Amino acid sequence: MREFFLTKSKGIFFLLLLAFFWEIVSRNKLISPLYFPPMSKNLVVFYHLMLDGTLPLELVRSFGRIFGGFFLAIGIMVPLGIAMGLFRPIYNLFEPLTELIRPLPPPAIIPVMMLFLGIGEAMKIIVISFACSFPILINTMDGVRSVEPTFVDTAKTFGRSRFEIILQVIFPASLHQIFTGLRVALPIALIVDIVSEMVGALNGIGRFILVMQRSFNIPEMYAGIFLVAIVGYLLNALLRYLNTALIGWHKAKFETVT
Amino acid sequence: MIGQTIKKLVYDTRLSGGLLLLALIILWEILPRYGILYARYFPPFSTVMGAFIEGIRSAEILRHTAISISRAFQGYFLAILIGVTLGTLTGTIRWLSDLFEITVELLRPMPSVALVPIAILLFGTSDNYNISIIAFGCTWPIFVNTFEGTKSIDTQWIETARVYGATRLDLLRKVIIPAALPYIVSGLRISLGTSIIIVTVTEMLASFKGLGYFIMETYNAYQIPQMYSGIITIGIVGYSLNRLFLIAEGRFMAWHKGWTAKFV
Repeated sequence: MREFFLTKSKGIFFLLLLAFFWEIVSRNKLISPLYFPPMSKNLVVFYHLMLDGTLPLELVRSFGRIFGGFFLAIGIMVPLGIAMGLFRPIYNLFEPLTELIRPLPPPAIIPVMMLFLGIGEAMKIIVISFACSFPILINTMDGVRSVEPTFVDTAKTFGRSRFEIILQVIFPASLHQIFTGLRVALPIALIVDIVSEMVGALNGIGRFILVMQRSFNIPEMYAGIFLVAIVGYLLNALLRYLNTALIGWHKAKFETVT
Repeated sequence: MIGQTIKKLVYDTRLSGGLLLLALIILWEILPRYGILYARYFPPFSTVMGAFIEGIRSAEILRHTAISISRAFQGYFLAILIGVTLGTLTGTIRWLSDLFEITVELLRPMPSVALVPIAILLFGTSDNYNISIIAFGCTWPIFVNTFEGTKSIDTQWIETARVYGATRLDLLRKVIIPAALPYIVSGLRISLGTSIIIVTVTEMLASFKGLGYFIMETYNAYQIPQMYSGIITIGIVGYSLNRLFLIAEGRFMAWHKGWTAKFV
């Protein structure tokens, strides 16, 4: 604990200094306190909105969309990526199509989806899963291709069927790379969720922030933004933790062999 | 014989993929025409292309494209300036990285679009609004890559340069920056794509010019073929910028392979 504070103390100090600077500058009206209310005020509002359940409720709604789209993308793109990585004809069939769609900024398809699906949950889930699709697909494909051929040959020698080899050898061996794709995709899901809520939604954390700005409830707006920052930070930390947990296992099982 | 040729085509060429694209385009043309897809929402391919060509001819799409690209580039170059400077400073000076670490860790995973309302308060709907959000979003990949790049330098190189009497500035200019350049370049490539995404988003949310605005405006006005033509244009812009970057990278970074290979 003591070591933690020794190494992090400068960073924490700097962060507090920034907050303090914000407080002073705003209180002395050096910048418009209407746009930048004192930090203490923002934090108090944040605290109250968290306690009375307003922000957690919006967050739960957003999370439903984020993870809905995220897992939909995993469900479609991981099998497709494995198929494209393993079978040349399938790769040839889908590669031109994916190359053509990939450069499209995902938020650009929001209006199309709004035409067909309105501003409900389906629209957001589809847009989010579209945005998550390509990092997952490409990393799965790479992962499958980089599996050590010895593993596959060994499994073949022991008379495993094709299906068993995919399920028991190729999939676990490429899991590390697949996870890299998921790690790239999850922050994208958060961003696209906020965008789609700002463009067309009735609730959710992105909508909350925008509505608070438009109705000039500025401390509430900052409270929403703080929550998004914290969520982004926690998701990032979670992914990092899961990654080390996963890599440790992966290393032990696959990298000592070679 | 024919069987072999087909097998070769299926395995070695992307003919099947081309055919799939063609089939999809034909379906896109036919399905709305026969009312299987609602033509109002999903106009036939030829109608969309007509709107696209009309938009190019009347220079409307070109005008919006030019505005979007200009905003994206202004934000992007600002991000390069901030990202490379901060990345090099924190990568080479220990106490600076200690100082900034937690703040960076808090700000970096923050979705840039969450800052849109603050930027609107500050800048209204002027170009500075788009540019500031783009700069924020594009800074992080460049910053992190520059930081990693300057950290990963072999200390032998620095010591050798010192032995030969290099000053701090020499070190930076002739050793640290060139050695970190491949990392920086990969950060630049990620950010270029990000800049196009963010410019679209910010224009969709609050702007009166640019491709993102064009898409939302035609959507609201129910000019659906025009909306699709705007989306196609953004796709083309994103694709070509990425291509251009890769070409430039191939040309200007070719030296690096030979350079590192000789010394490592």
